[in-house]
Amino acid sequence: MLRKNHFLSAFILLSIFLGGCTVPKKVLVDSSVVSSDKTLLMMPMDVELYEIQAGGVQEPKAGWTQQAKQNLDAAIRDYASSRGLRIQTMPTDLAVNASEDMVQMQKLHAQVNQTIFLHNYTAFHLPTKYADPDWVVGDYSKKLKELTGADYGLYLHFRDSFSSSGRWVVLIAAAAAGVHLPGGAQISEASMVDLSNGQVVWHSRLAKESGDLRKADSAAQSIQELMDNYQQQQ
Amino acid sequence: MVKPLRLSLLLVVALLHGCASTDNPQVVADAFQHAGQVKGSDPIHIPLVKTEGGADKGIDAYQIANLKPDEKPARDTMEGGLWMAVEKVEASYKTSGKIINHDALNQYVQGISCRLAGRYCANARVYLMRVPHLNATMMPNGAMQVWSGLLLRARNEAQLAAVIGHELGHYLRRHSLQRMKSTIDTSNGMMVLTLAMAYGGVGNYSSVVSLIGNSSLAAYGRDHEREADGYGLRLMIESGYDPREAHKIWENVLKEQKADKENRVHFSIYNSHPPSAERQHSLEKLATDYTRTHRAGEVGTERYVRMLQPHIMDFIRDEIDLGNFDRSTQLFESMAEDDFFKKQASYAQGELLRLRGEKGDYEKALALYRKSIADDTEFSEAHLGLGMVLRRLKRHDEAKLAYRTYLRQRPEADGATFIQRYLGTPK
Repeated sequence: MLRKNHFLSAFILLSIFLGGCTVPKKVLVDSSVVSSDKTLLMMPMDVELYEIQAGGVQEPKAGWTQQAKQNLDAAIRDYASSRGLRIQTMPTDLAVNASEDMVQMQKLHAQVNQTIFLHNYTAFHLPTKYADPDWVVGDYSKKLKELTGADYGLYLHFRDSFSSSGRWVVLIAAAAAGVHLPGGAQISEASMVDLSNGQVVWHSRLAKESGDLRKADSAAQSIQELMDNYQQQQ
Repeated sequence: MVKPLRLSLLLVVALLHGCASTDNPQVVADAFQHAGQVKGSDPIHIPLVKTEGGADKGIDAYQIANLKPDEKPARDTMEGGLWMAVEKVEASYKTSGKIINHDALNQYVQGISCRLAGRYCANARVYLMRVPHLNATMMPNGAMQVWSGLLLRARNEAQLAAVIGHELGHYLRRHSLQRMKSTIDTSNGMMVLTLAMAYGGVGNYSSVVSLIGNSSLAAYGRDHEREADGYGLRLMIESGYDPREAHKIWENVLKEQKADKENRVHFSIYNSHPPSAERQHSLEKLATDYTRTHRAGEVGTERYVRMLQPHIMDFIRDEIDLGNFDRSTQLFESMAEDDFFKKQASYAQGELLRLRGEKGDYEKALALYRKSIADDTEFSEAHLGLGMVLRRLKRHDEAKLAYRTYLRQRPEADGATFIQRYLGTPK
């Protein structure tokens, strides 16, 4: 019967959204609490890469996505060792057989992530949350701390898109007619959750129209730009 | 300036509508024929049909073969990307607040899917969702949603099988991939047209272009629905179900649509469903032709009713909560025509009237609750309804009698203390 292509409309919305350039970074809470004697638990990384077709449809690319995941995983480990941070991999049984609580925490984090973007990065400030950001992703974090012994959960979220050759022709033709159409863009977000109480202690966001997560050096650069935001606070 | 614009628009309309016909019952029959190969071992290629003009024509312009059992697309393909995207969605199904966690019912519906899917059994994963509308959905990777509103409307196992078979048809024929390809092609085409028109000096008519493009996509979707109908019917037959049940579910949908005065669904160029009357007719004809020469297969009413029994009141309450008086009345009236769930259907009609509470509604509701009690004096919900309406009508003696019966049958009921306060017997 109805097979709604929800994700298609989501892509279209996203592409409209991406019109702007780099968004100012905003660190939530003083993250100096994080130091080399604490461990960061890598939460399942959320990565999706797309190719923008001539007409604007964003086609998900599984091969590119997998490549980007590998690059980002290596990059975050390199970054951590160069900065003296301890990264802990999510135990396989927890990642594969994610409990309902774990999935709910992931879902809640995704929502909180969006909310932080809306209320701390755009003009929609919440009077009670802007000056004193206080976002919590629930109680399961405590259980996760018990199970893994880690101190903080590190969430990484990446979206990267590239214009197909057809899209390039369209962009150039439209530009010649004086119309600006959106091309590829990269959005990345990172957040750290204190596992002892579920509080988001740090959040960082980058949006740019350059870079290529399919390439190792470019992925490393994105990780550095995203994470140095955290380093500056130290 | 005006004439070339009109001409080019006409050309666009002609071009786009050539590839997607709006009324094409033959698609169901063709699909019914080639779906016969599903339970064989070779991948199915859909043959192009020679039309009268001599041109090759088929609804699948991309010539995509059916999925083989356990086939997974390569990662670097468009289909691989689609599967990646929907895997996340499927993961969210598992922890959705709407999922029905009831092993017996889940196994039952998954079992019907397996019976229909044969060697594809493991590839179609059913997720039962408590959503009070008639629908089932299929994702490209075989994750299928079946909504409780469908379970409420199907009158037997064969009717449910018709819808599940239809969804399997979407999966086997890789309709999502076809749709993705055609969405990209159409939007690319629209972009080229928009640019060409801008350069040709006819101004910005991108909204007209996208209107045409979208309606063409919708028509394409309608043909996919027809093809899935043909598949569903064939899978029913090959799995031993009576194919004459398939069209009946559409018959009931049509009745509900007609009754729905507030929110009437009009046929539109954007309608991704073909008009139900046409689908109903195509299915009915194929099924009758088949059963003239073959044994009909089973309907499976008893089993269906037994499995649905523990959930029927929940689903009925969800339907009532939608607040669509006319449509729900039509649904419950047709439910009351069958012997099973008759008392629940009368009760539900009474509830609709009680909640609307217009002039004369309470009296009608009383009659319906009593009808329900006549079928089963132990049907406690009807006694409660009776009590509430009688109390509203200030017929307190009768109301108290009904409430007492209710509490005798359900001493632990929610609100028992509240009712006892009204009865004046504090405990």
